[in-house]
This record gives sequence, structure tokens and C-alpha cells, in this order.
Amino acid sequence: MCKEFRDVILTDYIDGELDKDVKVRLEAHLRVCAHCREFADEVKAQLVVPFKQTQRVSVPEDLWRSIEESIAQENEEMQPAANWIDRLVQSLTLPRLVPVFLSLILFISAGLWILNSHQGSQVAGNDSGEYVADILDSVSELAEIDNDNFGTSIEQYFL
Amino acid sequence: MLPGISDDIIRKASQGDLRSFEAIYKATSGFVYNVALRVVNNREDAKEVAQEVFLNMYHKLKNFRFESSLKTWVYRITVNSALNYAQKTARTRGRETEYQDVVMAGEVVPDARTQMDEHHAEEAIETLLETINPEQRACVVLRGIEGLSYQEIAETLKININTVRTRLKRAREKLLASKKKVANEYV
Repeated sequence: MCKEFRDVILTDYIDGELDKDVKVRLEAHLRVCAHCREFADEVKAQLVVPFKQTQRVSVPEDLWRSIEESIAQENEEMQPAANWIDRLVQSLTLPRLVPVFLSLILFISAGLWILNSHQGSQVAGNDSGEYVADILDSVSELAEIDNDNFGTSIEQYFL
Repeated sequence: MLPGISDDIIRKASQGDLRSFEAIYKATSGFVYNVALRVVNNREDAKEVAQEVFLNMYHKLKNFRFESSLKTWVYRITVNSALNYAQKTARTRGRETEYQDVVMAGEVVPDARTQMDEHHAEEAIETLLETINPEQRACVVLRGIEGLSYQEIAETLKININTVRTRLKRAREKLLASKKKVANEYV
């Protein structure tokens, strides 16, 4: 019984966190138990009062200056990186890219024009009828070559 | 809500406005420095922690969503920074066992025996806090000195409210035991 109350005295009781019912029971116990009453008084005197009486220690006067200096130093260290990123972004802005795009379009257009004119001249140079006849002749010549030279005797047997 | 700190000031500070950030500094530096001081228990270290806290705040304010109060948010950053600092220095200084053993060291005994009057209260508190670990210290400071409720401590440290109770109970048991040990040895 006393052990349970002593745990409560060490925590919720001296910190004012005890709920009403437990507080009533504890105070009834303290009225009849001299040991627990003595323990509660000792705890209050040794562990509550000294901390409550503690005065705040003054903040060192130069603390804010040190913090300001550290922030300024960090900002300076960040500056070169920021400049580098700015330069990169500026170099990629649209006005600087316009001449590059124009040159590229001109180059591709010129290439396409040359290619088209070359193919056109090839086709235009042949009469279409003669062109087809030539192709047919070539195919028949190839077929004759195949009959003469390709295939082993077994393959020829099956063919 | 912190007195004198409107949502507009927070927004301006989050956009890098140094004057608005200075207003937040003025409203919070007192408890930031004092909480840091009680957790790391050393003035020079506390100053370093406080500076780190405000630089963190300056960078992270743009992520502040107004879901919790600014004060809770600042407490959270402060306690986290102080705990990290305390753990880091404990590793580098090899102080892991110091929290348990400090009361046995002769040099702190006169302070531990000091009556709780105004002149010695500060030293007595420092000595008391040395006997518990930084996580327990954070709970004791937020409750005992800053006056936060269990719920506020739980929100600040992002822990269960029963964990707050457990940490406070263990810390206080340790503090009482330390005081008794000193009293028995030197009566």
C-alpha cells in the first residue's frame, strides 16, 4: 500500500497531476501513515522547492551576435553557388537560344532540299518504260544464274 | 503562443527576415539557454547548444506547420540538441559512468550538503542534476523548472506520457538516494 502511494507521491502528487479520486485516497492515507507523510514532506522539500527557487541564468550577451555572424557566413558561402546557378539559368534563356534554333532549322531545310533534288534528278533521267524493262531483264538474268550455279545435287534432286 | 510572436512574424522569419527572427530569439532565448544549460550542465556548452538551436530554427522554420505551438517546437529542438550534445561529449570525455558516481566524488560533497538558500541554490541544482542522466534531466527540468505539464513534456519529447512518469520517478528516486547517501556519510 505504502509503496504504491510513494510512487504516486514521487510523480503525480507533487506535480499536481493527480486525478481527484486518487488524491482523496492518498490524502486519507497520509493522515494515518506517518512514514508516508514524512516521505511526502521530504520529497517536496528536497525535489520541488529547490527547482522552483532556481533563478533563470542570464543569456550570454554575445549569443545573438554569434548567431547573426553564423547566418551571415552561411549566406556568403551560399552566394557563389547561387551566382553559378544564376549564370547557368541566364545562359539558357530564350533570347540566346533563338539564333541557335534558326541555324538548326536552316541547316535541316538545306539538307532536305539537297536530298530531294538528287533523288528527283535520278528518276527524271530515265524513261519510265525503259526503266521497268531494265529491271525485268535484270531479274531474269539472275534467275538464269540461279539455275546454273546454285544448289547441291541433293537440293537439285528435291527441286 | 509566445507573447509578441504572431503567425506573421513566424512566416517572415521562415522566409529569411532577420528582424523577425530576432523577435523570436528575444522571446525564446531565455528558456532555450536555460534548458540547454540544465541538460548539459555547463555554461560554455549551453551557449554552444543554444547557438546550434537557433541556427537550426532559422533553417527549419519554413517547415513549421503551426500544428503544435511554437514554444513546444522550440523546446523540442532545444532538448534534442542538448541531449545529442550531452551524449556526444559523454562519449568524447568518457563520462558515461559519471552520472552514477559523481556523488561519491569528494569534491561535490560540500555542495550537496549545502542548505537550499539563494546563494547556494544554483550550485546545489547543478550538483543534483549531475547525478541523473541527460534524458531524466530533460524531464526534471521541463517539469520542475519550466513548469510544463506531463502532456506538454510528452509532446515535446515525443514520448508516451507514462514514459514521462517513469523517467521522473526514477530520476527523483536517484536524487533522493544521492542526498541521503551524502547526509549519512557526512553527519
